[in-house]
Amino acid sequence: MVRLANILQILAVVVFLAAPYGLPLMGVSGGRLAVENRPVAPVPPLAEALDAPGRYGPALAAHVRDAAPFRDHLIRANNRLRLALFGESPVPGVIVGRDDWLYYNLEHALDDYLNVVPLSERDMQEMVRVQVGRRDWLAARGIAYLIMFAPNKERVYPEHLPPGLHPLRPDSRLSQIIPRLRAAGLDVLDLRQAVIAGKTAGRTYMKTDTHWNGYGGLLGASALVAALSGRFPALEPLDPAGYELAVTDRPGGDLSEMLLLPDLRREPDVSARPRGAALARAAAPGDYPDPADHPERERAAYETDRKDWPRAVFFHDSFARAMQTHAAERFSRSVFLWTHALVPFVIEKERPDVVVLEVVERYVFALLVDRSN
Amino acid sequence: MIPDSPLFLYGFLPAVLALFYVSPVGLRCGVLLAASAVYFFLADAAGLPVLAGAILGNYLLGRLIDGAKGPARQRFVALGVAANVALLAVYKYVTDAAPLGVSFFTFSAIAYLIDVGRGQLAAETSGLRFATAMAFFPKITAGPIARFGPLLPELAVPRPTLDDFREGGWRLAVGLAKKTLIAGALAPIADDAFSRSAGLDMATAWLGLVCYTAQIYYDFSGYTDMAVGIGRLFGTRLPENFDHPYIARSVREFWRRWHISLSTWFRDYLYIPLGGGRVAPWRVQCNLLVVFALCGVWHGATLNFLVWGLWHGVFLSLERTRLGRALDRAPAVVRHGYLLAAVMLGWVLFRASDFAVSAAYYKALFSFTAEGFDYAWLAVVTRQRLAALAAAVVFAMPLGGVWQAVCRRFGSFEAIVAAWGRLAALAVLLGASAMAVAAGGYSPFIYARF
Repeated sequence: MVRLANILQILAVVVFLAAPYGLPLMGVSGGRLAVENRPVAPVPPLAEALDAPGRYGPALAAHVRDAAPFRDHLIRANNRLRLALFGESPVPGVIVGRDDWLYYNLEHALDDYLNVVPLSERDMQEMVRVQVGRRDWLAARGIAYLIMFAPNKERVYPEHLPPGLHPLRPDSRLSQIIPRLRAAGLDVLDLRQAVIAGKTAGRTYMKTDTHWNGYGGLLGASALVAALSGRFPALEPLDPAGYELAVTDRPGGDLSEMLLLPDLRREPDVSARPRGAALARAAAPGDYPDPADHPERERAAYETDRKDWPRAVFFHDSFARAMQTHAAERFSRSVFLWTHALVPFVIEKERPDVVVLEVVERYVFALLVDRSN
Repeated sequence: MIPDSPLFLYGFLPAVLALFYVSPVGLRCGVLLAASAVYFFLADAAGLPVLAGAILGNYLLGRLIDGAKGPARQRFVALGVAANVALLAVYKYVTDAAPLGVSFFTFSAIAYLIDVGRGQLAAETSGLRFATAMAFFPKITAGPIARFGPLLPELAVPRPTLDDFREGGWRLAVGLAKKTLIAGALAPIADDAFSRSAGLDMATAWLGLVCYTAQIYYDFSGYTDMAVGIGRLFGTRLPENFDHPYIARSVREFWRRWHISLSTWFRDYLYIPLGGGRVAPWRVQCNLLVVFALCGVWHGATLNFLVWGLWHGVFLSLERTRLGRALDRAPAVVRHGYLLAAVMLGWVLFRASDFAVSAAYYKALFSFTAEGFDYAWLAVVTRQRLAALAAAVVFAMPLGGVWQAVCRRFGSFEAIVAAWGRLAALAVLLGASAMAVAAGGYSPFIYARF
C-alpha cells in the first residue's frame, strides 16, 4: 500500500507537468473559453530569437500563458471552487452580491460607490469649462445640448450588494458635479431617481451584467423625452405604460462572462416591448466616418415619420444600447455614436436640433473629453 | 520565464525532464547545461553573455588558483573575488541591466574561488561541469547560493532515484502552492497598504505589514522549495534556505533560519575572516554591522536596503550585550514578540520604494488612528485573503511533528496513512496550484462593451 501511494505520488507530478500538452496529443481537447476581449498573444517567430532575443522569451511566455491547453477549464474550475468555498468573486473585476447578483469592480466602480474618490475642485472647474464650451458651440448653431447621467448599478440596487458594503462618505461624484453644471446653466438629466422609482414595476438592471436592462433603458428614454419636452413642445411623452415587460432566460451577462460562468450564472433578462407598432425604424447612417474606435461599437441611426419631432445626435457609452430603440421613438431622426467626444463634422452633417451626451456615472470623467476633429 | 509560469511548468520543465531521463548518464550534465542556457535565454537573453563570461572567467581563475603556490595563490583569489564583486557592483549598482541572478551566481563563484584557494576544494577540471554548476537553472534566478563542493560531484553523474523524483515532486508542489496560493493571495493587501501615499491609517498599515511579512516569506521560500524540488528531480540536492524563520526568538536565531545560504555565506567568507566572535566585543559588534550593511546592499542599491541591513546588524550587536542576555532570560512570548517586531519593522524598509515612503509608513504604523480602515476592510480584505493569511500563520510553524504524531495514532498503519495522506495533499496542492497559475494570467475586462 505504501509503495502504491509512493508510485501514485510520482504519477501525480508527471500528470501535472505533462497533461496540458500531453492530453491534446492524445486527442483530448482543451480549447479556449476565456472572455478577455483581447487577442491571444501570438507564437513569436523563431527568427525573432535571433533578431530580438530579449523579446523572444517574454513573447513565448505570453503565448503559452494565453494558449496553454485547458487553461480556461482550469480558470473556470478555480472560479467555481472559490465561489463555492468563499462565496466571493474569484475575479477582481466582479463582486458577488446577494441573491445571485453580480456587480462590476473595475475602473474604480467600487470606489465610486463608496464615494472615496471625490472630484477635485480643479476637475470640476475643467468639466464645467468643457461642457459650457460645447453648449455654446452648439447654441451658436441653434442646437440644444443635454447631459444625461445613467446611474451605476450599485447605486440603484445597493440592497443586493454584499452585507456591509455601503458608501463611506455622503456625497458621490455625481452629487458634486451636477449642481455645478446646473449652476453654469447646463441642462442636466440625472436618471437616478427615475430608475430607482421604476424598480417597483420591474427589475431595471441585469443581475449578471453591469448594464441596465431594456426596461431600465426605457425608463431612461422616457425621462429624456420628458426633459426635452419643454424645449420641443411637439414631443409626445414616452409612457412606460405603453410597453409590456417580458422576461427571457439567456446566458449570463458580461459579469458572468468575466467569471467564465455564463452558462451557470444565467440572466432572466427583462425587456420592454411596445404594446403597439414601433414608430422608429433603422435608417441609413450619415455620410461620414463612424467616430467609434471599436468594432463592437458601431453607430446606429433611426427615423420616424414624425417630421415635427426633433432630430437628435447622441454621444454615448454602452448604456445607450438598451435605451436607444426606445428613445428613437420620439425623434424624427436619431443617431447614436459611441464616443463621449463631441464630433463637429457629425454635427455639420446631421444638423440636429438637440445633442445628448449620455454618460454612465462611473465615467464622469468623460465630461473632460473635449471635441474630436 | 519565471518558475511558476505556464511556459516553465508545462513546456520547459517537462521537455527537459524527458530529455534528461532518456539521455545516458554521461550526457545528462550536458543536457542540464543546455537546458540552463535555454532557460537563461528565455528569461534574460541580454544577460546570457555576462553569465557566459563569468563562467569562463571563474573557471580559468579556479584553475589558476589551484595551480599556484604561496602568495600568488592568494593574489589570484583576491583577483577573483575582486572581479566578481566588480561584476556584481557594476551591473547591480551602476547599470540598470543586471543579468538574471547576478547576485547569486557571483556569490557562488566567490565561494568556489575561496574554497579552492583555501585548499578545501579542488578546482573543477571539466568546463562542462563547472558551467553547469554555475548556470544550473533551478537556482539561477533566486538561489539558493549553492556551494560547488557538494554540487559538482552530483552534476557529474546525475542519477536520480524514484525517491528523489517523489521528494522533488513534493517540494515542487509545496513551493508552487506557497507562491501561488498564499504569497499571491496576500500581495494585494500589502500592495494596497504600501501604495497609499497619503491617508494610511494604523490598522491598515499593520494589516499590510503582516501580509507583507507573510508574502515575502512564502514567495521566497516557495521559490526555494521549487528550486530544491526541481534540483532533486534531476538528482541534485540544493541547500536548504529556510527553516521556519518566524518561530525564532532572537534576530540571531532568525538569521540561522532565514535565507540560510546567504547568511552562512556571509558567515564563512566575511564574518569569520574578519575575526568572527573571537575578537574584542566592540570589534565583534563592528564586524556584525559591516557584515549586515553589506548584506543589505547585496539585496539592492538603495539607502533603504543599507538601512535594513544595519537595522538587523544593530539588533544582532545589541543581542551580544547585557540587553541580549536579559532577553534570553525573558519568557518565550516576549522573545518571540521582540523578534517579530524587529523583523516586521525592518520589512518596511525592504518593501517601501524609498526612504520617504518608509518614513511615512512608520508614521502610519504608530499614528493611533483607524480612519480609513473601513475602506480597506470593504474594498481590499476578502475572505479568500483572510484564509490565505490564516494558512500563512499556521504553516509558518513546523507542523511535521504534528503530522507524524497524527500518523502514529494509526499504529501499524502509520506508514500507510503517512504515504496516502501525502498523496492526497500532493494532489490538492498540485490541483489548486494549476488552477491558480491559470487564473493568474486571466484578466477579464469588458471594455469592448463600453
